[in-house]
Amino acid sequence: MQENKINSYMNPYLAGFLLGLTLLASFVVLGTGLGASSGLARISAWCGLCVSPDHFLKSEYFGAWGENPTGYYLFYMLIGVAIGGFLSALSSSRISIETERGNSFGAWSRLWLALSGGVIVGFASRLARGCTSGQALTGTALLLSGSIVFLLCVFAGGYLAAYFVRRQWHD
Amino acid sequence: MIETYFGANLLSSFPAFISALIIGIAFGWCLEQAGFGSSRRLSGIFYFRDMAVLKVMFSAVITAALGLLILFNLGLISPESIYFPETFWGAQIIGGLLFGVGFVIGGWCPGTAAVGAVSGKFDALIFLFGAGLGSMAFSESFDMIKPYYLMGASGVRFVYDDLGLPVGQFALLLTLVAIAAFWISELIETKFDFALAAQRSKGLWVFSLAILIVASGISVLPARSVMGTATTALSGLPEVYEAISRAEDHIEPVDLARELVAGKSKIICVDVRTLEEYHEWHIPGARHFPLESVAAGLNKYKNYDRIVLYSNGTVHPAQMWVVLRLKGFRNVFVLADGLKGLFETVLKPAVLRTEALSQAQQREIEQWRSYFLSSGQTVGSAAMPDFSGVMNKAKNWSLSPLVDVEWLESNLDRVRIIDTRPQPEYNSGHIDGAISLNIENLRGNVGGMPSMLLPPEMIAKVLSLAGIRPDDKIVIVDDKIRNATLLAAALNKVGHAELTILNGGFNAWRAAAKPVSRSLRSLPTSDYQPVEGADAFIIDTEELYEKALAKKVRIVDARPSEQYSGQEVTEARGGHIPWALNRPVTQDLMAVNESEFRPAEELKNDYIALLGTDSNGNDEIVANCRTGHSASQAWYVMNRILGYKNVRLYDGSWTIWAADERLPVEK
Repeated sequence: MQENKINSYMNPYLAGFLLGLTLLASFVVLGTGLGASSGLARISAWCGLCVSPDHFLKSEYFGAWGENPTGYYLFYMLIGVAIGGFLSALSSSRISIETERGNSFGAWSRLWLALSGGVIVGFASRLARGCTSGQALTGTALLLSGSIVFLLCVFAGGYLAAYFVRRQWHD
Repeated sequence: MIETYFGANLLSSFPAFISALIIGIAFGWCLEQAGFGSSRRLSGIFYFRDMAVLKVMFSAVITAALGLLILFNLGLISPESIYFPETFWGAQIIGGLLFGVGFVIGGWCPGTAAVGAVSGKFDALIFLFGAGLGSMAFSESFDMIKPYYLMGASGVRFVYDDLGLPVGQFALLLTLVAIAAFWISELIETKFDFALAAQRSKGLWVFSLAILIVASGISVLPARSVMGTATTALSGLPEVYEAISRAEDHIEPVDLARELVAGKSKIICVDVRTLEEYHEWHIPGARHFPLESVAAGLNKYKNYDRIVLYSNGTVHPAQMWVVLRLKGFRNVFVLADGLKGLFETVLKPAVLRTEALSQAQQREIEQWRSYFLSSGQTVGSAAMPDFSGVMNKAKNWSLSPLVDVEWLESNLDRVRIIDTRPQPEYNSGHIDGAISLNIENLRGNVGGMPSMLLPPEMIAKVLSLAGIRPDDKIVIVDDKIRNATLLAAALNKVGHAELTILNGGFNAWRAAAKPVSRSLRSLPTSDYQPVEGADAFIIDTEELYEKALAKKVRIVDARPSEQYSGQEVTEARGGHIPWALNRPVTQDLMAVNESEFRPAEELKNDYIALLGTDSNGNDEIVANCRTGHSASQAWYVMNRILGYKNVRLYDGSWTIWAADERLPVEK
């Protein structure tokens, strides 16, 4: 069963090739690569403006995005990612409401880890000016030194921490 | 040659948004098909269980990198049309390490979590929420983080340059590394069962061969290492960051105004707004260039003292500043806060400013206004163009609570003076243009209670007959300050926005030997409408009694201390409202001229000592006296001069309280 499930995914090299073509199309049409964390940060800034416009408009980082932070191409790209992901999951019957985790690991603990991981990733992608999409994928395809260093550091950080959170995947 | 939205500077246009949306759909589809809608699969790489992340990402990187090099080599697209993010060694190393830790803890990265969330994964949704929080935390702590954010700034750097390889050879090397990584991944997944790995990965043979051929082709092509051109263009970046950190990037509006008026420096202003806005109004002498020719247009100003870039805000000038610095301009500055700042700090008329201004300062503002606003440009009927609501703010501006003789003299034509002195004082000499208004016209018997301020409609009627309009900037002139403050209270009751009092009254004007007139000006009657609810600051006996009983208010009794203590009885009973504090009004005034308030600083300390709180407190304070007359002065001092927010006026005062036998009295 497990084997079947994995096999139902697309061949990773074909998926990678298509993803590469998408990235190439983004370069050719937009002139920029792909991005995800930036759209997310824009939404975060938008929420901030809803709560306390004065405070966030004055802040140096979010404030620089003005009164309409979601008027930015990467926000629309993130919406597209959600739509594309949904269409794909729907067509491949992979939509299921669940908290993904190892069978011997509690759902609440898994959600706490997801939340903490999210906070760290949200912060880190602002610091590094991008995430796996904007830096690791895009920047490496552009053969940029900083992006390749970022990619190597992501794996270094990941492997260093992997041991401590391994139980969330134990069945 | 393909022109990108980035190259055309149209990345924020509607078509670009739609394109980004469509590319996003393809992106999301690929991620989901690759199985990245599952955190278990994503995390697999960190436990050598499932190497899909490496396979997919490396395939995508090689495909896009080789594809782009081909397009560059064929001359189909120019590197100038592509955005190359800069390298910040420190930020990217720290950010990368942190990101990796967060990735393995959370099981997602931002893009894949979006896909996971729409596939129904609850942990993905929570992860996205966390990432939003993390972004906000970054913004909130940006002051602290900034040094790390800028750490190791090195401009656009290509890894093949850093390794000293031609781009084609590096591409081939990267491809070989990728192929090796793919095969090693397959072996890891099959636990080094070579036969199984070979059987499982038929597609890999084809893919490996294809990328190898393409990469080899690129490596032998004549080295039109076009990616490298971007490097030279942007190699000046570190220097630019340094200039920013030394604050050599901007000029304050006031400094610009002074330099322009002085006319000693060679300054050229560049308007970065649209051409329409430029034609509507611009800083005198400013130039406007189409975006693509700014650098060329400014070449002849390279030896000027300053090139000042301005817009309504600062974003566009800041972007252009960077471009010009990189093109070798050393004399470019951004106008801090843009035109908004200029209008607020330079061009706002002195009469609308709340801060106290010396005569010299007022003269300077007048100079600035005539320099910037009287250059013969057609700006419609108004003296100033309307920039995104900058001028609409005028409604919220209020005059300072007190003005002096010099201020009044230099603003005579902008204000409406109301003289509260009785006859024959007014008729025998007043400030030219001042209209006479006896405050007793604003008080009377209301519901059986004597000497109450009239209802708002009646006050408005009196003001209408006198020809006073709601937008008049009123300066009250008196010979007894209580009359001025009572008029101020009456005006406040109808919601009049702009009013102030001449400190020292008519005596000060005469003492300064300023001109006096005996003529009467005829003035058309107006139709003054009171502002709804503006009289809420008046408190009635019932409300005061309840709040005093609950000790929810501080009461300031402005009568002489003999009346407060009950030694002297002027009304039905002697004494004061329980818990009231005594502050005789004469203590607010200078001994020599009872029309002049003591310095605000002294008043401030007195009232802090009296009330036990400064003006930041939100406590309700009620001013009261014998008839509400002196109380208006206490109200004016606390509310307008000292800025206590919640000050009420007990108009009925001791007259009414003492007459009602049911109300408690303290002696």
